[in-house]
Amino acid sequence: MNRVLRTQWAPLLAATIIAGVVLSFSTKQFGSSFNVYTILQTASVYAVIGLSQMMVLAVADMSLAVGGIASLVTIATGNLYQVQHWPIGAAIAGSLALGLVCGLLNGVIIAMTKLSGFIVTLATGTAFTGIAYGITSSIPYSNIASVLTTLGQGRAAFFSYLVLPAIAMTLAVGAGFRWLPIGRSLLAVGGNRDAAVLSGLSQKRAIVTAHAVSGLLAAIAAVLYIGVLQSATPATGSDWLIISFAVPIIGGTALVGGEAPASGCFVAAIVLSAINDALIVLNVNTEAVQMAEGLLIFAAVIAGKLGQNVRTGTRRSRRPSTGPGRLGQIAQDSATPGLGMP
Amino acid sequence: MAAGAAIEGQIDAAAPIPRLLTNAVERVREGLGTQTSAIGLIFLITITWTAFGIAGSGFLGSYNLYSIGQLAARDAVLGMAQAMLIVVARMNLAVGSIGAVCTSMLGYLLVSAGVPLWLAFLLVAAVGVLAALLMGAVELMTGLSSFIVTLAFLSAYAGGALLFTGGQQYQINSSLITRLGNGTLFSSAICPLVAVAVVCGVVCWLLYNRNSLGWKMLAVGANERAARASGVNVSRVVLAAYALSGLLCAVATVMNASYELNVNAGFGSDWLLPSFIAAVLGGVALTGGEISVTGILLAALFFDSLQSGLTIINVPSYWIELPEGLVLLVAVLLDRARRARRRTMRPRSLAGTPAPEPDPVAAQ
Amino acid sequence: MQERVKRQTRWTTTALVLGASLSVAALCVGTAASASTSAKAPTRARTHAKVPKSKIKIALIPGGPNVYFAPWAAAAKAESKALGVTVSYVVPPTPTFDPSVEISTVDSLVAKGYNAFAIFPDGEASIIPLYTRLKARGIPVIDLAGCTSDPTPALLCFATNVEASAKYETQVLTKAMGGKGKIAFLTGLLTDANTALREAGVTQGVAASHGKVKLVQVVSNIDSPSAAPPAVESLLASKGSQLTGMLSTDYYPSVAAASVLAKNAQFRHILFIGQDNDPTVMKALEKGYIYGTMWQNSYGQGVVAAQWLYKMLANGCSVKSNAPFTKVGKTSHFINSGYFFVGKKDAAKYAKGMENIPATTKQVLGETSKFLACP
Repeated sequence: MNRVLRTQWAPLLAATIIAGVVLSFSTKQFGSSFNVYTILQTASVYAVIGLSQMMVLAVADMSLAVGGIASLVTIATGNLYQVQHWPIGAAIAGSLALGLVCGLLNGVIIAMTKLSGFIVTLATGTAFTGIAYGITSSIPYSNIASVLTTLGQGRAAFFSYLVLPAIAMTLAVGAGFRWLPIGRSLLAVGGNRDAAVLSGLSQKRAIVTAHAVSGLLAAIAAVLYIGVLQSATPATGSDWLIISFAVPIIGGTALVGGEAPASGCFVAAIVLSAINDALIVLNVNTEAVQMAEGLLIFAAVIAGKLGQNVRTGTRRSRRPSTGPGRLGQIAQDSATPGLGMP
Repeated sequence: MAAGAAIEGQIDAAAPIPRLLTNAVERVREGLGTQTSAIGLIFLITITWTAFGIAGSGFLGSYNLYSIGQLAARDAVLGMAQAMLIVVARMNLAVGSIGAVCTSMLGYLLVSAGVPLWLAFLLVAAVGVLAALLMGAVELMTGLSSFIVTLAFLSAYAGGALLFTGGQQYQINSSLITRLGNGTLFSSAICPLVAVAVVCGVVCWLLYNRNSLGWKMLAVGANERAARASGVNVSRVVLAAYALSGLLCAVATVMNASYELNVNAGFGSDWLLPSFIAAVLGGVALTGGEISVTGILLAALFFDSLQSGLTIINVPSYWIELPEGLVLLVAVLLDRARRARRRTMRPRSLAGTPAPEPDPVAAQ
Repeated sequence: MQERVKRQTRWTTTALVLGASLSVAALCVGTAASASTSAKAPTRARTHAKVPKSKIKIALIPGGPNVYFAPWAAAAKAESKALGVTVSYVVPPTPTFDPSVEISTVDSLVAKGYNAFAIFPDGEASIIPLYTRLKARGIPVIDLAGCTSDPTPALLCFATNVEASAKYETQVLTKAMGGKGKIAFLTGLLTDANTALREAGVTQGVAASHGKVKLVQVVSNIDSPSAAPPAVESLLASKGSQLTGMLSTDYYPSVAAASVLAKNAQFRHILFIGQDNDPTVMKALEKGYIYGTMWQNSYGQGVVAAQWLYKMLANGCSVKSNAPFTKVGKTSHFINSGYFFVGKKDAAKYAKGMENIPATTKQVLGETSKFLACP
């Protein structure tokens, strides 16, 4: 219990629950089982999208190709099932493999060239989306296997079936970082590249692994989303960029690497999804929705930051995790001890 | 570099800090002096122009060059707006949203309020600077990364602009603005906007080469701690970088408005990508402390030529985005290879590169 | 060290000079080439001289990659064959419908020798300066599927009358609801001029019920695959029990609503009318989960545009000043390309195939002489 309270996202979760309870008293529909299902369904997809970005943030890199991979995987699933007549299981497996390969490609290019993931994935993401549009001429595949539709839209009362794969992914990623040697070395490399390299950890392997897993997670998110929309369109993923960063960052992933709170992602996804839902339920002036969203994201980040301060107050600070706006290996600067201020 | 400096600092507390700064600035100066990314881009532009000129009829016609210049000029200024913050190791994800705010302001002032042109320009510039300064102030106060701060402001500003205008369209009727974006300069192949971009480029070049603020920005980007330690007021430099970025966004807004002549709050939603492409292809290192103004101008020209050329050589519809992505990738890889070669030629690593430094303690 | 820097600087200078001279050379060549073409252009603009068939190159330009425009590709292909000239469907590479990308795409095609354009304008006036440049070169341009606002160099605008379509949609819905009830409206981007027209159409339709139908919520800015499903579900969760009708004038909200209603029987008391012919929508309609969908004449738009542009170039036709245009929104030279309500009984008939209203196309082509004056 104590541990849960000390996690960075605890205040955020508390604030959301309180706001949710207040909302459901003032507008009774907010607490209705269909509305909770709606929030959970969207949150589940957001969570997996967020995990995909978190993988690369953990090694102090970033991926702008999450949406591009999702676009390509979406139309691959549609094409394999509808045009090539593969059984749905094989079609999903094939598409997930494709996502993995796309991520692997990003990782290999970044590791080989030591370029920033930002620019490499900007280019590859554009290329992936380009392939998806090229293959389909922007016409969606509409013959969606019933298993995907059931997964995407099925529910037991308020419980969306999508929550199951999302929680499974969250647990798998969390466990991977905690117990697998490769997971720990990812965090070590992300936290302090030079020190990790000196201690014999392969920076290249860490980056390639992070991007490959990120590609796989983006593919999983894409496959989950096909059932929600019931249509496999190359436009899927076009507006995932902000979500992919907002979820892990609100969830407490620092941009300087070395941290990967998977459960934080899930909580942040619920927060974002609930914000979107509440704005519609409360019938907020449509022109104000976008602005309110931005301000609320900001409020959520500040709340997360307060949580972090509370946490660092009770526990010995590992290091100042928010180097002012630095990215990538600049993290090594803030990890440097000594150099007192004059 | 930083790790080495820290150990050095423990041995001799007073001396190395200014030296560290001088070193950082000197390295940056070398990067500026060589301009190798510009050479690479000139090479790329020559190749693509030759290839498109031969393969596709009309590519080198004045009509097409005019159109490329018109778009490239705006993209170059967007690239500079982005570079202002990249140089201090930050990012501005809200370039487009500041553009939306400035656009709404421009439309409101010129069309609804009927303010004279010069005053409207002045106010729009002020709005751009203020919008960016607010982000800078929030970053400095909260200690959050610029990525997060500008990401949050991206939605807030775009939404605010939408709320302010209510989705209204403003039709601009100023003949000066019309001539700026749709007139010609010297030849029928040159849009006056190109001159605007070049002027912005010259001002930026002067800033980084002849002005202490520019040097301080480079120093902060190369190594913020060292800069602070040697007495640079980092907060002030960072705020200045934000302000300049906002100012350039305002310039880009006017440029865009001058050739589309009709503005609404949806402006700027597509600016993020061109701003990064121009800056990064132009040789501005994302890790900060480096800039190449010529590179940014050329990169914008290169990328917009590419888009036009691919249409002209009949790349089938829907497939154009793929070669765009691939060429961007190849260009970045080539740039990387060139940098790597340059580094092996030189004993000292460049600002922000992760190559391990020889330990100065061990060297003694 | 110093030496090397100096040498590199010299290198730079050489490269810069080389590049500059090459560019100047290219400019000279280019200017010379364009001078020869522009010498011819004004005469063509004044007299509408006939263009030989081999030189006619017509382009249909959508706003960006979007499924709505797909039938234009088929129309371009068919008309190219029928007319014996080049008719191309060229998509600007901008999924977000960025006007600057569209402008540069059209400019490239002009440079390539295309001499007639039918364009979906990304922004009702952002593209007018481009039109002005095209007009100066004697190139005919028409608006297709969306209009530029007056004053515009576009010769005419052939598009769905979105305002009338939305009004009609609302009236059909009202009738199905027995003349009273509460409705919600799902739509697209607020900065899109068509969204304002659609909202106006819905408002007029609601007003026609004299207060018996109430528009309780407008959800806008959700015409994207990731924004539409959660928004529709949130709307149903909060207002589902009180709504009797719901309508959408945009693609993805229609797909999302059809998909949610197909899965959730508890909301099927809400009569829903969608837009366009996504298979998810058509399937839901066949099963009776939704009440209907509004079709547009996407294929016909491509056909009419290609044929009229061909007549302008090949036969020297020009648009009559006294043509029977209608005034819609901000344009006074509008021709309706048609809209059409598809209900459950017609669903099976239209389920396969492109969005197309052959009757309207035939009618408009039959009235060609009212719009075009040919020598």
